[in-house]
Amino acid sequence: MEQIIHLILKIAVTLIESGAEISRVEDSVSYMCRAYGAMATNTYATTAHVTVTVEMPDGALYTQTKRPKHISNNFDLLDRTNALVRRITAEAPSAEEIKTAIDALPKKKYPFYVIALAQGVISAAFCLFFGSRSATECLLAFLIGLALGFLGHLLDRMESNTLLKSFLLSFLASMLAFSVTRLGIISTPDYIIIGYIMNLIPGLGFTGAMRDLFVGDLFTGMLRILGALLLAASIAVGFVLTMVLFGGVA
Amino acid sequence: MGWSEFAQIVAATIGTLGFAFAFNIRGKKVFFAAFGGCLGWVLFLLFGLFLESEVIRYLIVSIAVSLYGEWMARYLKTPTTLFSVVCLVPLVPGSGLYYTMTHAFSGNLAGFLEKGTSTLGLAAALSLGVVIVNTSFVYIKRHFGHKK
Repeated sequence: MEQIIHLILKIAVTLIESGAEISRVEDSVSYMCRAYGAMATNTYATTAHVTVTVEMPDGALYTQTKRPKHISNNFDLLDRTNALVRRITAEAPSAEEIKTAIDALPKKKYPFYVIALAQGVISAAFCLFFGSRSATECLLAFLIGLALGFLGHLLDRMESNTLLKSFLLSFLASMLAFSVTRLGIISTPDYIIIGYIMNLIPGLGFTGAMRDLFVGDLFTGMLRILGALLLAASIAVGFVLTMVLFGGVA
Repeated sequence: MGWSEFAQIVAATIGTLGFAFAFNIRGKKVFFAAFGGCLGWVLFLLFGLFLESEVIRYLIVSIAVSLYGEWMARYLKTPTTLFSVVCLVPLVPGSGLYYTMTHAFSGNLAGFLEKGTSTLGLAAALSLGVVIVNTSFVYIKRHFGHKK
């Protein structure tokens, strides 16, 4: 049983790290433990740790803790891990089987050039969406998004700090946009910067924080809001630094 | 519907599609996610014909898209988060946030307050819609559903 709880917590951590809401994680852990005959389970999860105490019919008590690390939106991993949770609750497979299934979970994202391309497309699309009517602006937004997409991949590989990363990306995007405006290629940097910044904002997870708060997971909700505010601040600082360097709005 | 609205709908769909890739969605879910983004903006423009307040439109669309997300999540047997994060991307008030920042640091207090409050209103409406739908579904699942 001890081994199985260890594996169940491993699954819980994977759920959290791939972007699951906390209520899902806690429910999943309880369901899985019950599939193995647990009489009662006490699960407490936040984005920083998961603890479970399981009470077995023979009176044995097991408590274990595990710590999630890098949280990101990896919805394919979330989807597959969730499917694994369903399977375990339905079939209660052996520890060996769970271990193989966990190892078989796909950790990979799309290749980095696909993600960079997606970021270029996002920048251009939202440049158009928020009111740019110039093909040059959209093209430049695409190129900036693409270039910074590659840079972002590089920073991820160096395991850089998330705050530093979003500061740097926002700073470089606005620097580039202001520069091409100064060169007279386009008339305003606004749409390019908005288009690019749209890459960073949904990743803040502000609505996710709200969801956790209102379901009653106050602690995680607060952690997430704090994280979102810090990230938003670092994006803003990157942009403001550019404005200072260029001496006001270009 | 003019060219501008058409451009917005196309851009919203493509932008959402981009996020489906950035957040690692696979298979046919990519299509359903992009469709959700498109649906959201079409509804937003449609309600604009008889509702003036952007905040109320945001709330209604956010509820509608979240419901679509819940439905899709059940249909495709996948966590709802996937759709509620990606499909709502076109509603994220990116330009409001940007102009709030610009006004704040160019010392335009009136502009800052105006943009700031309207952006805050939109963001609040957006998350309120998500929260209403999500909280109800979590409650229903815990109390009435023996889903497993």
